[in-house]
Amino acid sequence: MYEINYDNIEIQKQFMELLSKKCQDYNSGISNSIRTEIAESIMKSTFYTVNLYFKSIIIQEKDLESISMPNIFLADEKGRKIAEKEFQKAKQLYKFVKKSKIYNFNYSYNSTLSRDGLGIFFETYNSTYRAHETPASIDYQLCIPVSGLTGVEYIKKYLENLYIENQFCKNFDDMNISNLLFGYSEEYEELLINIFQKVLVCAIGCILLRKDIRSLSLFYEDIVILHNQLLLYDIKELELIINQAVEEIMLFLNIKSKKIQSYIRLSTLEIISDINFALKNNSLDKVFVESIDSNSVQKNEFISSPKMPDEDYREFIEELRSCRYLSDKIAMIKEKIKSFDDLEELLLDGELSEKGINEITKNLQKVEIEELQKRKEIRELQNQIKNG
Amino acid sequence: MTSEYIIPISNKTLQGETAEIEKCNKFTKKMGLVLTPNEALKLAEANALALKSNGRIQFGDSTVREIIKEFYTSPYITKDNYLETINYLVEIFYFYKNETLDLIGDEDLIKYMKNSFDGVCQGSLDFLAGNELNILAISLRSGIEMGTKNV
Repeated sequence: MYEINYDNIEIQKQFMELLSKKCQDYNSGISNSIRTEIAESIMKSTFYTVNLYFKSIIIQEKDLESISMPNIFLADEKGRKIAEKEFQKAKQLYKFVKKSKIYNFNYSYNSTLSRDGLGIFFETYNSTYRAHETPASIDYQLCIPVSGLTGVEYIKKYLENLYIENQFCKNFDDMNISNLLFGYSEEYEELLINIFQKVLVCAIGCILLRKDIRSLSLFYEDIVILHNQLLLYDIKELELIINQAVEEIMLFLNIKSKKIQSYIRLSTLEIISDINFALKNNSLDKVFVESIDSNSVQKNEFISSPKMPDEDYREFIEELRSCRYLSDKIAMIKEKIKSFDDLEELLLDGELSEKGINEITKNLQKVEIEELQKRKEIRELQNQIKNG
Repeated sequence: MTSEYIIPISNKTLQGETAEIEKCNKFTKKMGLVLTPNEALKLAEANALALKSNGRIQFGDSTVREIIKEFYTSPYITKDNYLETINYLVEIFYFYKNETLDLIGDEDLIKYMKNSFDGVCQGSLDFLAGNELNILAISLRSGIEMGTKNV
């Protein structure tokens, strides 16, 4: 790639003239001055488009001399045209990515693909004055992150990678993917996870166990078998086994695109490292995750019965505090407190000793204890008692 | 890299700016207003300082020249206050370029300043800066259309 010599005075002069012209155009010729940050942005944008042009051309060695004094005005103009072309390509890619979207509830994935995520870029990108900027809200983490690029180049590369990931994931049923993610974490919707990587890892697990890849279902026993099986290999053998499994997956799923193949192979490097690390730390269940059908999991919702009226509660607390013996207090609580919410308040307000609290809570059911643990004030009370 | 290139713009224009200001003597002398080369340089430096303190860079014609061109006929400018008045006008000009979010062009802003200065402000620069231009800035920022008699 040809590199511009920015120290050359003539090139600097050309850049200054170009910046001056662009600033005037920016102001529509009605102002002779401009805010520094805008001028800086225009300057960065110019550097970006000029570099974009020189990156796009293949220069023969014999031509290097003639290009030692490039026409920056021309390079900027051509660079802007390239940025526009790339923008159109990215726009098309964005459409493809949206069409190949995986249906799941992961927030970062959905918001990134939405109009308020990547969509912002296509509404606000300006190749003349802010070509270097990437105005988009991108939370979703790719398996192979895009680095060293900005502006339209970044967006295009990001979309290319995301499209590859989507295309791979489209070989699997959306529900199976959701179950896999749910198995990874019940709160997968809120997590910044990469779906493609989770699917690829699970597919590798399925291949190694000779299970149906498309089902993406691994169970706890499967992970134990995998652990015992993979533990036998050293790192070289592990690499070989995983790479073979990946090749089998691509063959089985009939993935012929060289781009997708190379992306998958590149992604495998990190997966091998993760597996190796997990084997050493006995945590393979964090890499290969159990698939869980979210619909089959019963969600328990704790509902307390109605609280007693405030007036009655105040009277009861007064009476309880004035009571001398713990046995009498316990008897009073058992008789009057019928609601879980009242019990919670009582633990906080009743000025009970540690023994008293233990006496009350020992008769509670497991679910009630768990619910109490969830409440912040109770946790604080526990800490206070612990610390004396 | 960008800042390295931005800074020379103001350095490069300092000499040019002084020359441009000096050229104003040609038409201001008929009003008895003449700047010495040293005073022209001071104004050019004040312009550079005002640009810097307001976070702006100049790339086109001399703004000081435009201000002198508009204001030299003002009845409130005499040879005794000429330098100070232009100096202050340059300062408030850039300040209100920012305050108006560049929604008003240089020519219109200078004309508005001149009309207010000669009109309601009766030659008071403080009233111009603290009141009239402030009203203009608020109106422009909030999208309220100002009367066209001043602008």
